[in-house]
Amino acid sequence: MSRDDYSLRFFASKVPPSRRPIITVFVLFFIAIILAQAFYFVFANSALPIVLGMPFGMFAVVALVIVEYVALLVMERVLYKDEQGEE
Amino acid sequence: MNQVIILSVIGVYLLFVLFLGAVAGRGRADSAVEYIAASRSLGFICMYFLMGGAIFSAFAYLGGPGWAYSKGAPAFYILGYCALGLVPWLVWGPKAQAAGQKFGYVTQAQLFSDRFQSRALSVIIAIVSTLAFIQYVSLQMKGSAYVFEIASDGAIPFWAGALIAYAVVLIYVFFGGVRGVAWTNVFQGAFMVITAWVLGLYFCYSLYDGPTDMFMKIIAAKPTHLLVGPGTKMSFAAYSTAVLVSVLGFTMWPHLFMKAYTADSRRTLRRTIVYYPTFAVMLIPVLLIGFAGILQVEPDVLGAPDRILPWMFTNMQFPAAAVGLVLAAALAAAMSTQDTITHAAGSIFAQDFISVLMGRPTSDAEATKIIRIFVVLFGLVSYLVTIFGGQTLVALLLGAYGSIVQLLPLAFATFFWPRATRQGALAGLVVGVCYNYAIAFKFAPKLWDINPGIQGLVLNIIFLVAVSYLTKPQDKDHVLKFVEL
Repeated sequence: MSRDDYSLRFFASKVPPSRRPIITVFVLFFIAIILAQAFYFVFANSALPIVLGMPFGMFAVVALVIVEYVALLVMERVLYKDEQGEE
Repeated sequence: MNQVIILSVIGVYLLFVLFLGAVAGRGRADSAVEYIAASRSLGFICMYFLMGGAIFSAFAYLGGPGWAYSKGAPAFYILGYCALGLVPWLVWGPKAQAAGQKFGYVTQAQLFSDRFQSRALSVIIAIVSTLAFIQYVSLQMKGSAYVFEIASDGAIPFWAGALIAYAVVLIYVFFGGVRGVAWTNVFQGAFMVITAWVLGLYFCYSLYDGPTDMFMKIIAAKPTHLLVGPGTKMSFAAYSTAVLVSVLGFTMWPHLFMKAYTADSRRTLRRTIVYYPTFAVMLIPVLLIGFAGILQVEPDVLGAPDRILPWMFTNMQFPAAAVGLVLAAALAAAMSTQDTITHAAGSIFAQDFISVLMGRPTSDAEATKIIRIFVVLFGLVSYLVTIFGGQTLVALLLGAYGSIVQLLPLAFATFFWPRATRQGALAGLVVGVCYNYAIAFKFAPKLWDINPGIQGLVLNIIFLVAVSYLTKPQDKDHVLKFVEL
C-alpha cells in the first residue's frame, strides 16, 4: 500500500512491522472481552450456582474483569518490556 | 445529638478537602497549561486516582447500590464498563498525549478542530460537552444531597445539601485547578475504597450469614432479580448497548480525554490504563450494599433507590462518628467527580468556545479568569437541574453518554483515517447528537430498546464516511501529522 494515499492506517509508519501482528492480537482480544462483557447473558444469565459468594452472572462479569486485567499486565510486559521511562 | 456528631465529622472532612485543594495551586505558574494540564507533570499515583476518582463517583457509590437494590443484575454492567472503560485509551491515549506535547493542546476540541481545520467543530464540541457535563455534575450533586439529607435526618433539605456540595467544590476548583483536583482525588479515592470494602462485607455478615446466604434469600424472594432479559428489569438489548455505549464513550468524555495531556509520559498513561480494572474490583462491595438492602427496606419506605447506601448505614445503629465517616466517603465519591468535571467544563468553555468565538487565543490571565467565571455559572445551572430533574443517578449518566459517545468517530478518524474531511466530521457529529437527543426527548422511536447513543453513533459513522467521500480530501501533510503520532 502506498504511504501517500488516504486509506485507513491502523499503525503509524514508525511502528516496526514485527510488532504489528502482536498488537493486532491484543486489540482483537480486548474487543472480544468487551463483547463478552456486553453479552455475558449469552453464557452466564443465571443466579445459580453461587460462586465465591456471587451469583453466577456476577461471577462471570468479575471473572472477565480479572481476565482483562491479566491480559493488560501481559500486554505491558510483552510490548513495553524494553521501555526505560519517558519516551 | 447523633446528627450533630455525624454532621461535625462530615464538616471536618469537608474543611480538610477544601484546605488540601486550595493549597495545591499555591506557588505554581498562573497559566492555562498549569490550571488545565498541571504543566503536563502528573505522575502515576496522581493519574491513577485522578482517573479512578472520576468514575468512583456518586454514580458508582450511590447509583450502583441503587441499581443493585432496584434492578438487580443490570447493575453488573457497572463492573464491566468500569473495568473496560480505559481500554480504548490504549489506542488513542498515547497519541493524544503526544499531540498535546507536540502541538500544545490542552483540550480535546483543540485536537479535533485542528485536525479538521474547523472552528465550528470546536464550538459544537464545547456545547455538546457542556450539556453532557451538566447531567453528570447534576447526578453528583444529587448524590451529595441524599447524603446530607439522610445524615441530618431531614434537617438539611435536599436543596441545601446540593448547594453545600456545589460551594465546596467550587472553592477548591476555583483556586487549585487540576492540581487541586488531583491531590484531593488521591485522598478521597483511598478513603472511598477502604470504606466500600468495610461496609460491603459488614452488611453481608451482619444482616445475613455471608454473601451466599444473602443471594440465596434474594433468589427465594425475587427469582428474576439476578437475571437480565425478558421478564426482568432490563432487556438484553438495553443491557448490552448500555455496556457498549459506556465503554466506547468513556474516554470520549472531555474531562477524561484531556487527562492524557496531564500525564508526564506515555508510560504513566499506559500504567494508569493497565491498573484501572482494579477500580472495578473495588466496586464489588458497593453493589453488595445495594443487594443487602433488598430484604431490609421496602421501596416505598426508602423513596429514591439511590438513597439505599446512606439509608442502610444510618439505620443500622452504628456509632455516630462511624456514620459520619462513611457518609463523608459517599460525599468524597460525589465530589471527586464533580470537581474533575467542573474544572474540565470551565477549561473547555474558555478554550473551545470563548477563545474560538473571539478569533484569537486568550492570554493565560484571561483564560483563567473566564474559566473561573464559567465554573460558577455552570455549577449553578447544574444545581438547578439537580433540584428540578427527576431521574435516577444511573439514568442521568447513561443519558449523558448518548451524546458524548458521538465524539468517538472524530477520535478514530483523527488518528487512523486521513480521508475524513471537515464536512464529514461535522455532518456525522451533528446527526449523531441530534438523533440521540431526538430519541431522548421522544421525537424519534427507541428501536428495539437499543441505547439512543448507539443508534446515534451508527448514523454518525454513516454520515462521516459518506460525506467525507463526497467532499474534497484535506491537505495530506496536515492530516498525516496526526496519523503518524
